Amino acid sequence: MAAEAIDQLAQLGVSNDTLVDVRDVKVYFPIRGGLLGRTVANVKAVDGVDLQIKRGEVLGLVGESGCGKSTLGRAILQLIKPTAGHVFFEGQDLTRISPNALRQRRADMQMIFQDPFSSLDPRFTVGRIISEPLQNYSRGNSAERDHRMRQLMEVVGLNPKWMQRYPHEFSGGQRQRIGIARALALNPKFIVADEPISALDVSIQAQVLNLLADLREQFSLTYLFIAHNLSAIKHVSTRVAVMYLGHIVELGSSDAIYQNPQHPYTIALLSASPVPDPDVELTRRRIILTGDVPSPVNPPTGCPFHPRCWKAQPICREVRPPLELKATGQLAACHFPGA
Amino acid sequence: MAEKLLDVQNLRTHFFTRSGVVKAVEDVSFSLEEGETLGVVGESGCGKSVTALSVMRLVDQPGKIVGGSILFRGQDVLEMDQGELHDLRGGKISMIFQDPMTSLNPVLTIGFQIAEAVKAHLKLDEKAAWNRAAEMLDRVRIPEARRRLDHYPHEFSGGMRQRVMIAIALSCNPQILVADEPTTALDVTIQAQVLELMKGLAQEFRTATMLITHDLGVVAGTCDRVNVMYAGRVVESAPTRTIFKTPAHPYTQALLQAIPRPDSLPGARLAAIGGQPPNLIDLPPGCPFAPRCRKAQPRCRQELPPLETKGPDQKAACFYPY
Repeated sequence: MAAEAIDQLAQLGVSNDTLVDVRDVKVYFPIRGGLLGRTVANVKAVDGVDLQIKRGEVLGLVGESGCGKSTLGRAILQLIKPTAGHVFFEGQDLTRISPNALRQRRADMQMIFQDPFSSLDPRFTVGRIISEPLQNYSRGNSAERDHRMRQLMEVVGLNPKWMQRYPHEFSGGQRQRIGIARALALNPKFIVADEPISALDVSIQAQVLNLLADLREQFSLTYLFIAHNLSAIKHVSTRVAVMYLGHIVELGSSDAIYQNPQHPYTIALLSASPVPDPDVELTRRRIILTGDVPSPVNPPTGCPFHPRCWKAQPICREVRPPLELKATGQLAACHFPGA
Repeated sequence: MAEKLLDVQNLRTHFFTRSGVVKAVEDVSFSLEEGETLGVVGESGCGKSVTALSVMRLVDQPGKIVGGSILFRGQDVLEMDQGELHDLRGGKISMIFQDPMTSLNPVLTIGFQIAEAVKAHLKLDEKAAWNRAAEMLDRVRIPEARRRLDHYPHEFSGGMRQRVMIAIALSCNPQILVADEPTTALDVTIQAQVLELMKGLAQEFRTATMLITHDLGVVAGTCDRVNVMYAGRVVESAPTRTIFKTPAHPYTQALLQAIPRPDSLPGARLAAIGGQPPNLIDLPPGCPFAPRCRKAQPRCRQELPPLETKGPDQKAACFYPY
């Protein structure tokens, strides 16, 4: 994104007290082939993303599978090394600091995973899972760690008496609470929650969403909330970024995005997401996109969305629209924005 | 009213496991009429899938249908011999599963897999069966259908595979289509494509559909009637609009309140349902929802409320509805 776009962000008040600043981050996964195992192509999972996350906000990141949202989340935490670009955390460039300094920084940035089954070690007791981060960072002596672990279990609504139990003895929702307690152990400032509720039942999803909201208030956390469920994103987020094929195609306040979506992809996504109200479902005009998401190995020229877009013009095939400020107050990457 | 297409009465399917008897489906009754779309909603483990499998007698060891009756056009499915069952499955009633990757055979071409079903049920010869396969692929809007017949499942995307499953399921003109979470593994834009396709085809072929899902949004847009299941039982049954506008059972109400809606206020607290669904081996006496119910009275913990008529065309199993 060009400098003027960053200025536009500044006008939106994004720059004051930025916690995480993502600048032109690219993550390419090489595809090796041939006799010599040379790189024959790249999967462009994240292809030039600029994003600022303010202290205390919940930034929702939506998109369909394969759009690069999880990869972006991991690249921010340096769990995947970005191919290019910078990630600043409280002004410090995570892509340029020493491994040791990064390790210290990691205590401030934690992750909550989608699958509460595979993200917990089945051979560890719950107590050990939650206190492991404290041990890794030598926080306190063993009695203090034990106290902290019990405290964390209570905070996320688990009975500390269960500390000797193993993950398989818990339900999906309870396991997600264990994962949340572990993420909170080091008093982080920033949490990337990658689809934290999509593996849970409806009645349990609401419990976990409420818990995440309470914790944010209690510990002044900042979240990057990654999900494909638009209603859940709207419910938790102050701002929303919509991703398509490695690019952010729309970014703005939750209200602007949901009331006045500008990018055709956002419009289609909103119209495709089912609403639990038969009257709304009966009367709404649904935009059914044709075809599938193109391959990120060989993305379309110009706007990545043009092959599926009903408004596409010749220019969309040639020039990639920049992410710029639209009249409705959000940023969108489209030559012909609006409904 | 004409004869019911499918009439299930007091169905009970239990699983005999080492740790005890799991009453997966307990006293479930419902019926389907021609062209109707019935939604079955509930959380994981509530018995929706086992109900569907029972209808086709596909329940495997250690599970067993221990009671009730399943009448398909007046004929009892539970009394059918192997030959009759063969005609029923895939011919008169066909099924679409959640995961299109594991339900297609990876080493056979798509054409072979559709033609296989057609040959078995419509008694067509090889050539006619492949023509039918091409026609079906075209119907589910897969471009260049004839060329795609020679492709293998891995050459299709998730949404296309699910459309292939629909093509197989509808290739023999079934009277009932059982769709078990057909769009859960798909992205929203692809989900919209598949649901639209299913709706269109069901109307065209007058197929009755039993749509199993946990997504109330999907139900609102596609179903005529809804059965809400909890802990192996139907706790509420009503037309879709009634379920959403005036739900009678506290569980239905709680489910509707627990989901964030696109038009709800951001940041508002969701009305979560406390606790966990009960263990089906060791069900509490009385109403299975009572331990999580906000309105539960002493009576609810002792007596099981029967599924009774509470309003016009609305049945619920609750002593204190609305």
